[in-house]
Amino acid sequence: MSYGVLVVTGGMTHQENYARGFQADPRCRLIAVTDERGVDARRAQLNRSLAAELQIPYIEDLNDALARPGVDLASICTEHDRQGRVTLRCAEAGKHLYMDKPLAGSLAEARALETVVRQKNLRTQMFTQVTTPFSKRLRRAAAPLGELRAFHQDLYFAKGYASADGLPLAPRQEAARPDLFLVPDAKREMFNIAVYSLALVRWLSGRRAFLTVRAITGNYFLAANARRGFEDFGVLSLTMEGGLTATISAGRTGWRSHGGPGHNRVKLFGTKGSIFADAYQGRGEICTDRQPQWQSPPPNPADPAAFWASSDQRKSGGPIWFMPPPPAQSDQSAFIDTLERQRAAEVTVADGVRVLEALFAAYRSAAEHRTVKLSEV
Amino acid sequence: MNAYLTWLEQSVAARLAEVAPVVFVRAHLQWTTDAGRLEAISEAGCAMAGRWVNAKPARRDAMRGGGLQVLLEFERGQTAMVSSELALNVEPQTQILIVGQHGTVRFDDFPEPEWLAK
Repeated sequence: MSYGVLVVTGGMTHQENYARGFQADPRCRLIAVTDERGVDARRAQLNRSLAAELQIPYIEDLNDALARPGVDLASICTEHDRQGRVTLRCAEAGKHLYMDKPLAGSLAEARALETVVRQKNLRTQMFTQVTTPFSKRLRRAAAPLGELRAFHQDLYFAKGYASADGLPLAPRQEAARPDLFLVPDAKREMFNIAVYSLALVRWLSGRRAFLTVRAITGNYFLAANARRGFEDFGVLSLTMEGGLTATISAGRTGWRSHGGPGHNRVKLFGTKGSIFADAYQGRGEICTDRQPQWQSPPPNPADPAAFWASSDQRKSGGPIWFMPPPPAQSDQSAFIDTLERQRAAEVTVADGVRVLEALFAAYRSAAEHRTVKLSEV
Repeated sequence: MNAYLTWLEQSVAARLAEVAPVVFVRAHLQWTTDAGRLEAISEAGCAMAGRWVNAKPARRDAMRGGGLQVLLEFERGQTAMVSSELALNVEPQTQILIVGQHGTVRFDDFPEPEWLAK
């Protein structure tokens, strides 16, 4: 069977990857790029650009696109303040859903979506990192540890231009109910990055429920985030069903904060043992005197070969890394597998709603400086 | 505490100027098989993190699970997560990740038991 894929919202989103992931899968054919009628001029242009790159039409009205014959699923990657209602519209039209993370900018919309998906018996998948080789390795490594008791992850994206002078340090005043998460020059980074860790701990623990969250957000690196009132860093401490605890730090820490894509370190504790794992333990590394940032210590004429400890032996700068291959199967193809095999995805809309609840509880915790129960959101 | 902690604090502190100011400290201190020592290791680790951040804690939240986890918020908004953990069926080990406004410092180690006992 061939699956018709409607691409909902285009360029300058993760759709650049998702649509190409579906296009690369021989079981899929892309139908068109589409969006809500009346999107602003920038968004419309970005939608047209991606449609042109993918060599498919752009349909200006989502409703018209959903009515096209042959649309089986929608790949949705819309700004979060619109994504809830857009995804809901696709679900009401009976389309299977591949969704960007987090699901929506509104819990009410996300919960309504969960209901419609259940009523219409749709297949759904939210993009996360659980299909990456690192996550699969963690799951294998966790098996001999017994029952999972604690999960810790530091997950940073070494991207963005950290302020050269350093932002002034001050406690951040968080919004208890944020409603805007993404603008062209900034994202709420706890929202966009901690979502991966929250989905991962649910996946590793057999979907245990979050019970309480304590969180703190900060503006440490990115001037645009500070101007927009968006955090660039968040720390979360959670209790979960069955006595499981989780701690997470997540943020966008600037281009030069890591030799690769950014720190991604996990520590797991089970009843029988523990492991520490670094996502980039497997990597290539180049060290050469042709790298201008990689400096030798100054020569010592008395010890021209720097044999002895009394000579300065401190190197500075660093090697250049290159990464292992991408996953053997894309996240998009994993979703197509779920359609073919009539089984639930690893991270469904219901998982996405539970993760979104934890994120909104985290914002409330950060705003009110207290531990928040999930039942409060 | 122990000689290793003193060495750790001073050795890491000597490198912090390269990334300072420090805004976040993650410390996994998996040094003991004695649950009765977790509290003391945690206290020492929190004090060390405060000196690396160069600020006094304004808020402190603790929870247990796989050890003792302490979340700290400092006066000027910096944060730390200090975990004191049982080394059951594993070697004693340390994982430190320090985030500064100008980069990160990572230090992972398997301290000799003799250092931890000193």
